[in-house]
Amino acid sequence: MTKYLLRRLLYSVPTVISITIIIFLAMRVIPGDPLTSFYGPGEVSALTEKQRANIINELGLDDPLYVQYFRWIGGVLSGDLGKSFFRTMTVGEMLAHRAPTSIEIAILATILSWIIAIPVGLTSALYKNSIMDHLSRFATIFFLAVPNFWLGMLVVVFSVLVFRYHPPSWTIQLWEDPLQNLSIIWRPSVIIALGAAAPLARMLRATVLEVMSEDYIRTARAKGLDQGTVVSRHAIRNAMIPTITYSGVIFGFLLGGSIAVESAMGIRGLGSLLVSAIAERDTLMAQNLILIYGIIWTFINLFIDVTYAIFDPRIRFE
Amino acid sequence: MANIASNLKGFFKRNPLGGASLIVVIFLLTVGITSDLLVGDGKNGDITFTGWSETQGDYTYMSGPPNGDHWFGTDQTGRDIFSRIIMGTKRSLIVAIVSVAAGTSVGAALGIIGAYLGGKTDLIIQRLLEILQSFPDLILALLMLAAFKANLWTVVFAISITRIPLSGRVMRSAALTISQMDYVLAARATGASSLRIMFRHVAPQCFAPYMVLATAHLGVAILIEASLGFLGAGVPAPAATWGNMLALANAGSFKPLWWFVTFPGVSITVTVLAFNLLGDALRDEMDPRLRGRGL
Repeated sequence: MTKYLLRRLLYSVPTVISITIIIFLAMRVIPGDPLTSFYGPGEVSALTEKQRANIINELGLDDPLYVQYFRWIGGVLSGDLGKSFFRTMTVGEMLAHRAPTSIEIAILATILSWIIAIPVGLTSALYKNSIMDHLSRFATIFFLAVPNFWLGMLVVVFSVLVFRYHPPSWTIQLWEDPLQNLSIIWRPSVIIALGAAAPLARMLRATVLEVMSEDYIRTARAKGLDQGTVVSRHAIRNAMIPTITYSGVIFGFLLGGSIAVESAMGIRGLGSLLVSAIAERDTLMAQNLILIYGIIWTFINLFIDVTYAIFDPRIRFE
Repeated sequence: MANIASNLKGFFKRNPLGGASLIVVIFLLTVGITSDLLVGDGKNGDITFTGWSETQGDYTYMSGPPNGDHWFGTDQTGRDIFSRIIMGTKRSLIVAIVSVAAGTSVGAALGIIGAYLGGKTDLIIQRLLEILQSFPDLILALLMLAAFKANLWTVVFAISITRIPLSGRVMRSAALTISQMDYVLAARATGASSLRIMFRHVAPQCFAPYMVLATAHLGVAILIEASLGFLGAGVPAPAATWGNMLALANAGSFKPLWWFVTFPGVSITVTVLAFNLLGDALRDEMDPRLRGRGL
C-alpha cells in the first residue's frame, strides 16, 4: 500500500508542474494590453513611451517568459503569492479574506448533500418502483438538469420580493458574527447541495440495488435475518464505499461549481474573485487562484484513487 | 426503413420517457436549424415567425411583460425575448453538439490508442488526461477563454477540451477488454498494422459506450455553456445566449422582472433534461443488462 501511495504521489508531481505551465502560458497569451485594463483606455494612450516602459519594467513584464515563470513559482513556493494588479491588497490577503466563505459553503453543502442523498437514495433502492422511488428519481433527474446559478437567482428574487431580504454587500466572517455569516451562506449551500445530492442519490440507489443482488445478501437472508438487519449490517456498508468516494469528487466540484452560484447570489467568495480577476486581466490574482483550484483538484483525484486502492486490492497491483 | 420504424416503436413502448425526450430533442433541433428563418424583423421583406430580430429593440415597449406581440416579453432595451431564446437555442445546440462530438472523439481516440499500444504511450496519454482532469470543468473552460478571445468557436473549443479526460478514461477501459479478444489477435496474425487494427477492429466495438457517453455529455456541455455565458465569458453580446440573457437579468438589480429570469432558465432546464433522459434511455437500449435498473 505504501508503495502504491508513493507511486501515486510521485505521479502527481509532473501533473502539478504541467498545471503551472498551462496556467502560466494561458495567462500570457491573454489578448489585450495589460496596461489598458490597469489605467483605462484613455490614460493608457496618454502615457509616453518611456513611462510605459517603466511600468512594464516595474511589473516585471519585460523579462523573458521563463524568468517570469520561475519568479512566480519561486514566490508561490516561498509563500509569496504576489500583489494584485489593481487592489492594494496582496493576493495572499485577498485569499484569506475571500476563501473562508467559499470553504464554508463547500463544507456545509457537502454535509447537506449527504443528509438529502442518503435517505433519498436508500428509500429509492429499497422500495424500488414504488411511488417514493419514482418521485425521488424524478427529483434527481430534475436537479441534475437545473443550472444551479439559475436556482440561485430565483431564490434571490424570491427572497427580495417576499421577505424583503437583501444580502449584505460586504463580507461577514464566521468568527465575527456567526449568525449573520450563516444567514448569508445557507442559501447558496442549500442550492449547491441540491445539485450535488442528485448524482449522489442516483449512484447510491444503483450501488444498493447491485449489492442487494449479491450472493452474500442471499446467504444472509437464508440464515433467517430480517430485512432491516440485512440492509443495515450487510448492504449499506458495501454500498457506502463508492458514495463516500464520490463525495470527494463533489467537494472538489463544489469549489469549482460554486463560481456561478456565488456570482448569481452576490456572495463574495473565491469564485466571484476569480471571475472578476479574469475579467479585469488581473493576471497574478487569476493565475494563483486557478493554481489553487488545480492543486486541490489534483489531490482530490489522488484521494479518490487511494481510497479505491484501499477498498479494492486489485487496483494496487495493476 | 421499416426496420427503423419498428425499432422506434419498440423504443417508445419500452421507454416512454425516453421517447418523449426524443420528441423534445427533435423539436429543439428543428427550432435550432430553422432559427434564422424564424427570427428577424422582416425589414428585407421576408416574412418571419417572431417578427422581431434578436438585436433590434422595440423602443415603444421596453421591459414589457409578455403580450400578443412579444410572447415572452421584452428586455431592458426592448429586444424580443422570444426571438432571443430561439437564437440562444441555436447557439446552445451548436456549442453542445460540436464540442461533445470533438471532445468525446479526441478522448476516445486517445483512450483506444493507449489501451491498444500500452506501455510508454499509454503512460504518457494517461498523464496527459490527468493534467486536463486537474481542473474543474468550468475553471478549465474559463482558463481557455481567458487565453483566447471569446466567440462561438473558442467556446466550442474550450468546452470540448473539458470533455476529453472522462471520455479518454471510459473508452480506454472499454478498449482494454476488446484489445484482448481473439479476433484482434487474429487480425494481428494476418499482418494488419496497429493503426488498422485500432480503427478498423477495436474502435467499432467501442461504439456503444461512445454514444452513451456523448449523449450524457450533451447536457453537461449545455450547462457549462450557460454558466460561461452567465459569467460573461461565453459568446459575447449582442448575440443572445441563454447564459448571457440570465447575466443581463442579474445585472439589472436585485429585483429582475420575472420574464427576464424565467424563460432562459426554463429553456436550459428543459433542454438538459431532455438530453439526459435520452442518454439514459439510449444506455438502457444499448446495454440490455442495465435495463430496468434506472441508473
